[in-house]
Amino acid sequence: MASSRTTDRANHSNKAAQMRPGPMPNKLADVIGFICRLGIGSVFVYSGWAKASDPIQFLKLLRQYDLVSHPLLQTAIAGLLPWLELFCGALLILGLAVRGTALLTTTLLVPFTIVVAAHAIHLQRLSGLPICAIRFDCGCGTGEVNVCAKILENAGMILGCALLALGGLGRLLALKYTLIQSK
Amino acid sequence: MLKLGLKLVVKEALVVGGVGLLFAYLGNMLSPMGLKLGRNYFPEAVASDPYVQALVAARAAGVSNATEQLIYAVTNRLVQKGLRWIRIDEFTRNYTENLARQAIGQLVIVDARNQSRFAAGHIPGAHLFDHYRFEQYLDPVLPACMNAECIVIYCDGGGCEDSEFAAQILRELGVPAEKMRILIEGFEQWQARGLPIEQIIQTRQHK
Repeated sequence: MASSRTTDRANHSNKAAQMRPGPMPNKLADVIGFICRLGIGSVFVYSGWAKASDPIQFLKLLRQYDLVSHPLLQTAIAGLLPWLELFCGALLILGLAVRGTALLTTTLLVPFTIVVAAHAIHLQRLSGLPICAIRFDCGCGTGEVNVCAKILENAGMILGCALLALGGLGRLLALKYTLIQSK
Repeated sequence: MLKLGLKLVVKEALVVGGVGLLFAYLGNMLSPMGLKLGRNYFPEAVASDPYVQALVAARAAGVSNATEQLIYAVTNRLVQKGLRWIRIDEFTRNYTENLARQAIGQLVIVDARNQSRFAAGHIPGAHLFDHYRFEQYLDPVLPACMNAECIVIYCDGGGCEDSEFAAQILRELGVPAEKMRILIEGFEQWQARGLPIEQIIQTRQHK
């Protein structure tokens, strides 16, 4: 009986350890995580709202990128993606399901950044301009941007999302950091 | 333990994604600016030309003779679409005569941009025809186009395609293609030359 109690305690301790997503962050990490949440969340809310307010402009840009040839798929992306961005941005700012939302925003940011870079390289080959002189509307809701600055900005946001999703940061003032608990 | 943590994060991401897509669907449906998800907004479109985009970028960066190359590329595109064009010099050469023809409905000018750009400034007497929401503009525009001898359609310029899409829709609705001309340089050049502009100014009501 004593040994089964010891086993039970060990099991409970293991389960408790499994429920924790990682070691508790220190104060600096708390602040960094909070800044990442607010910063990335704000960018996504602004960008999503700007595109949702003028989805036609976003649709035109999607067509220029020529990623998706099917016109109905273009329409679906242009109609839905801005609102999804807005949703993710709001969740990050409020601190709801932070890690899952950060992982989702990473899956949005990474291919988008690759597309922007590929489009810039394509324009550079056709125009002969230096790549960091290339400016175009990337569909971010901010009009024309310098492509190098945009890629750097996105790389920073991807890093921030990785810290939130994988590093367990961003708990400070979060409404509900984790929605799904392990059993 | 790390794998279990990652599994939970992925699961959470899927839940957020699912709820987010539902939110997105509702947002698009309820928004007055929302798109009709089953609609093809670019009927009969040729693929967007990256060469034209490169020339637009070159022009923006101040590369010399990019403008003329861009105009040449745009005229090639118009030929592919079976559309005719007019240069701004030719259009403004007989400006007074054009005004008279406009007044009696022989000449119709169509602005293929959106409501906000139209309100900010347009060619005097132009009819707005935003082809992305063309149903709203059919009543005033279609009869005018059917009765006109010549229809000049413009958008911003600089390689924009909206005037071409507008022309294609009007063609589908029965407006003869030979009546229509795309103003290649667009409103950008019209404004740059200091030509007359009309605006729609919202007036506040004072109590």
